[in-house]
Amino acid sequence: MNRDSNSLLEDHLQVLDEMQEVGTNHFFYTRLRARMDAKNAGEVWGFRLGPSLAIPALTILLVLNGFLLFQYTQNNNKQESDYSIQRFAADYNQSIETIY
Amino acid sequence: MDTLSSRIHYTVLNILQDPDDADDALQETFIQVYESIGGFKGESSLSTWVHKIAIRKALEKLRKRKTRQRIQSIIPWWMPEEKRSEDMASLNPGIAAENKEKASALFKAIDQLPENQKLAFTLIRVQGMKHDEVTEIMGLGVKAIESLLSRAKENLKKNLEKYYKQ
Repeated sequence: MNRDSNSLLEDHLQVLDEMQEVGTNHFFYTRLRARMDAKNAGEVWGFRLGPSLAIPALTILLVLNGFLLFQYTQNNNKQESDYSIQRFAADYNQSIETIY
Repeated sequence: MDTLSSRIHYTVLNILQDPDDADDALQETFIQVYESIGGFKGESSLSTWVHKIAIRKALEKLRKRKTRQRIQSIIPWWMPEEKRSEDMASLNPGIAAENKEKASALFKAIDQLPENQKLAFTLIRVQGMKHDEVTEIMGLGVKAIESLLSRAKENLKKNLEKYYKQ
């Protein structure tokens, strides 16, 4: 069994000895040049969103979000308290009319 | 430079078994070499350094391919099937027509090996690199490489037997 598997492997490994080395495609360097040019052009004109830019941008967005949320809740609370005072005054007929 | 690029191309082709993927990996290698040549400290030869980059790129492609295949098998409707032939030997232009069948079985068996074993076997047995060159590229000692090679051969025997029993 072991001998069989050994000879099976050896038989297949012979293929490797007969394998020929293959070089690069004829147009390889043209394609490489085009890819490098495209990459360089992209870096000059394109917007590169790396971690150094993405993390501060996300932080600013989160801070702005938090600030707006805080403002909104503050505003809501103020309106609610104004409204309840007016309602209380109306319910108990406590509206004060001044002569001024 | 042409000899070096041919050798590197042959290495990535042997790892990936797909000429298009090999071309792509080689392009990425040269771009990386161009961008980071300033960081080359000369601790190893230029050939070894470029080989290391090329192998890293080839392994990245191999991992992506395997992940894609795994996702494809779980949710086939999500990911369109790659138009890539399953028969890896037919894609390798360095294999003679009369050897295609055997080579196909062998490369399927090699493809099933764990990554380190596959790399050691490919570099030494398929590519014909010297042990000391491979130790430098893989960053392992000679004994570790020999152990990987011997385990790879054992696993290849099992994989080939399994292939012919199917």
